[in-house]
Amino acid sequence: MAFLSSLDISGSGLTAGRLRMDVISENISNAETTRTDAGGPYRRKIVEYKCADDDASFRSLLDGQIASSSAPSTLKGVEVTGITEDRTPFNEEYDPSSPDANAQGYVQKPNVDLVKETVDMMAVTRAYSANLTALNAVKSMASKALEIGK
Amino acid sequence: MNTIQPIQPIGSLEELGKLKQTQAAGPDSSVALPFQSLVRDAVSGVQQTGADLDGEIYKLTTGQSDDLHNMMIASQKAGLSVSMVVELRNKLLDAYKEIMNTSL
Repeated sequence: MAFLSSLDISGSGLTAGRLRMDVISENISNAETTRTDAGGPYRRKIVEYKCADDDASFRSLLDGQIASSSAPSTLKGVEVTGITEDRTPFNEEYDPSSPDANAQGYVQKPNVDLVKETVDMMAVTRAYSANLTALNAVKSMASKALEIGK
Repeated sequence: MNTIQPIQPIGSLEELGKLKQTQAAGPDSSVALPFQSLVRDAVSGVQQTGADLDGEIYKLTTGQSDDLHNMMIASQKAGLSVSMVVELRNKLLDAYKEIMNTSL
């Protein structure tokens, strides 16, 4: 039913928020990782978001034009296009006893800032709640609409 | 100078005329009554949301999906569509009773 597709917009936000939370958890758990398969220490990961409504395929454009007489059905919410790596330089720490220390005794540590990740985590939690609030508002609006005339 | 506006036919009555035509065409006409298709669409919408909910629960319990909220959204959708069809049915029954109680 078409009037229920409004819930999917908030649903896409919830899915994106959960994925971002996973990425933040990985950043935190690898905050001290000095070895990866690619070599070198762990690089902080970032989620890329994209607004999902500008899908340029012919079919979606045609459907959008046909449906444009009714409610705008091209709103799809958000989608994650990829997870990229933070290119900021690694932190260097002087620790000659570490097996990963170089000739000068410095160890390259991941470019993960725990304080930053904590703040990001709080932001994601709040954003998830905001999406849930929007979803519940849409749902209660539909329930209220069914009470018209009672 | 004012021009006299011709009397416009009333839209809703025109629709009634069309309805009469489709009825006059007989039961073998392939044109479905709007009422019939309305009810059928509503019920098939409920079936669709129910099937979506079943699919989400299946995916979640078998571990193919780890999005809890998609299942909850599907369940809300199923509940809303059922209450919409129940509301539609109540309205239809009310209208039917109203007509049947007409005293002649």
